Amino acid sequence: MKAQAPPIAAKDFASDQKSISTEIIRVDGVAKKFSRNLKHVMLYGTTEVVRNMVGLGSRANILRDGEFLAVDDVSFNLRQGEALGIIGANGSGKSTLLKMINGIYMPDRGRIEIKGRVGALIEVGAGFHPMLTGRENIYINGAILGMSKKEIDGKFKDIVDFADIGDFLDSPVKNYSSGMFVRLGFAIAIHSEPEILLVDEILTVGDIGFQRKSFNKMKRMRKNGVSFILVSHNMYSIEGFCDSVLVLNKGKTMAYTDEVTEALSVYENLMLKKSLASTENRQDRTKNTFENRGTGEITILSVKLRDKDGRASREFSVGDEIHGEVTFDSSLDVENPMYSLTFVRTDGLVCGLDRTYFSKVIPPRLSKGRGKFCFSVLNQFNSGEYFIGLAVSDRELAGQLPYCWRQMETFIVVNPPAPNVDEGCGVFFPQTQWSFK
Amino acid sequence: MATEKTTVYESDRALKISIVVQFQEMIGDLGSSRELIWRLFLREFTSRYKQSFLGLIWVIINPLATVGVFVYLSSAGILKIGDTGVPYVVYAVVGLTIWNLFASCVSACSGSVASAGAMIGKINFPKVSLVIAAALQSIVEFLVRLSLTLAVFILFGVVPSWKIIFLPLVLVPLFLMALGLGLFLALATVLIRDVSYVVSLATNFMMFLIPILYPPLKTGIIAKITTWNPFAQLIMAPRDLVLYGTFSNTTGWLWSTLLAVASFLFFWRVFHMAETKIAERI
Repeated sequence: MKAQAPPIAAKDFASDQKSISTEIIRVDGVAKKFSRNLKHVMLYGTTEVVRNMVGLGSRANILRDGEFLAVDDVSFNLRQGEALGIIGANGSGKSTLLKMINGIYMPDRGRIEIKGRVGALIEVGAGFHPMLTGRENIYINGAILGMSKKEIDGKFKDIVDFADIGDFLDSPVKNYSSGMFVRLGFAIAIHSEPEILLVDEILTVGDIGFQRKSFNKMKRMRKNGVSFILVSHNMYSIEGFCDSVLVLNKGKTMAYTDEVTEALSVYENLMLKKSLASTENRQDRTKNTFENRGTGEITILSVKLRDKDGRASREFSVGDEIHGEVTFDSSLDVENPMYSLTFVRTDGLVCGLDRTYFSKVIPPRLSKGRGKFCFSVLNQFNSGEYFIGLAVSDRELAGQLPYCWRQMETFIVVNPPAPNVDEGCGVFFPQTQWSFK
Repeated sequence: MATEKTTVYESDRALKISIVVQFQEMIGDLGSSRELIWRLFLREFTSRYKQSFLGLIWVIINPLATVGVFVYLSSAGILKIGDTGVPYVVYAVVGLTIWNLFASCVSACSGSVASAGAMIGKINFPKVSLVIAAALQSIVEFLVRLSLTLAVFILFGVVPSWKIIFLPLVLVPLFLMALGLGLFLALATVLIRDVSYVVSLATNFMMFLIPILYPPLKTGIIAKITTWNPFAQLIMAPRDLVLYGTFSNTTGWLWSTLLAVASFLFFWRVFHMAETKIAERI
């Protein structure tokens, strides 16, 4: 699953000392239980301490009432100078895992072994006292991160320079802008000389200039043999920095590989499936957002999407046929009906429109009562989620409100070879034929 | 670059290591966080007095007010305070100073972990340093009150016993008792915030149960309670030493000292074992 070759940065460094870089973190089958109920939390915690006091185990294998596994059987290892990215949606357990590696939480199962001094940026500026000056807070925060006064004295200038807080050094930090606050916190943490740095969503704070500066600093640290664990739900920050990626979903490992792009596509598909799962909610919302903008004389009752084999589906890949079956109820007869189909990305971008008239199809007379029509399109969209919009109108009353006009069903497109890593990918997937001479 | 020391995180760690190793870890924690304890102490100290006009003077206003009320009550004939051997104000101020070392230490420690709040869930550091830093705070306050006591001695022309030089030694058991309770109450406050109210209520009640503002009674239920109350023994011994140069109840004090040391070690261990659970509860 995991290649043994150390990354290039580590190799550079290791060649001076050892031929292979040493394993620095080993996480083995780690699990963490959490409880949603505060009363349970207090009761269970006390029980565990009392049991331990009298020499009994804390029954880690049993899930008590109201408990769930926030992290479930996660394993990985990290070598010196390597960077691991942990990615997952909110609540996937990535921060909990990071806190266990940092020793803030104890794992309920499994074992974590760490060689070396761990620095953590779980929240920048945690431990800052608002009433005290930047100077005082540097010493306090440094001490919290395990630095001695001498070490801080030695690094003081570097910290202040990196944080770029200028004249504010002797003002209380409550007067700092949020940018200065973050810069100072980050500066202290990276100057605490960690051998392993745990970073939680840090690159998303501060202005672009500072982000770049921090990123470059982290790259330099890696060259010097510092290992990193980066937690993010932002794929871009992981893609450019990490040697391996761990994808978490509901506490479980979905992928653990040093094929970073592959892992990111696993993550992206996961997120799209999540969005499909929440379509029920979305439809409730769209009922209001996209209520019938037509005259209401025709009501669309349902839209069923199927794949080419006739199975109900709402997930398609590029090149797949999307078959739709629409049921409606009409309160009038229409001699010359016209049907329209639109595709709208969930962010509101209209991606395409077709009408029976455009396709030179002449639909039959529409009579009062329940009716049905079908459509079939070839999916050429990029990865993403799309609404299907439908309208029924009278061909002869062009320019008037349609009888029925609303956005209904959504479907998602998952193109495994091309995760939609960038807005710049657009909506259309050009299935290019390449040739080389 | 990687140091040889390997850190291991696993559940039920306390059961996998001997109690000796556990105490070694606890002492190691304490040693490695000296700088942190000092910084936390300074942080609390400076931030507390930064916006206060009278600053540290508040520390002596409280006992002065309490003594003042009692002097008024007794001179107005509402309260009859027996013979204390030395002027009443001297007796009461010395007693209160020693009592306040205990009371302020317990109350400062008990709130110390809960008030650190967000920091605990975000940074890994020995939580015991929060409690120790709070305890240091109470020692500083004690030293300030000691200067008040000195002033009272001079004002009333009372010369304390030469045995006052043993005072720091005799205060150690009292301090350990307070620290042990403080460690336990710090945990309890994290679990249930109501504990802080109970603590202030209990210390108030306890103060009147111990002969601090009145001379020890010879008979009756209070006298019985005093004899069996380890807190009373630990507070009266240093007071008697300063004022009279003797212990009124040496056996009682020795037993209480033993209890203080044992309870401190016990609660310290409980704290250490519960430490990693704190972050999950805050």
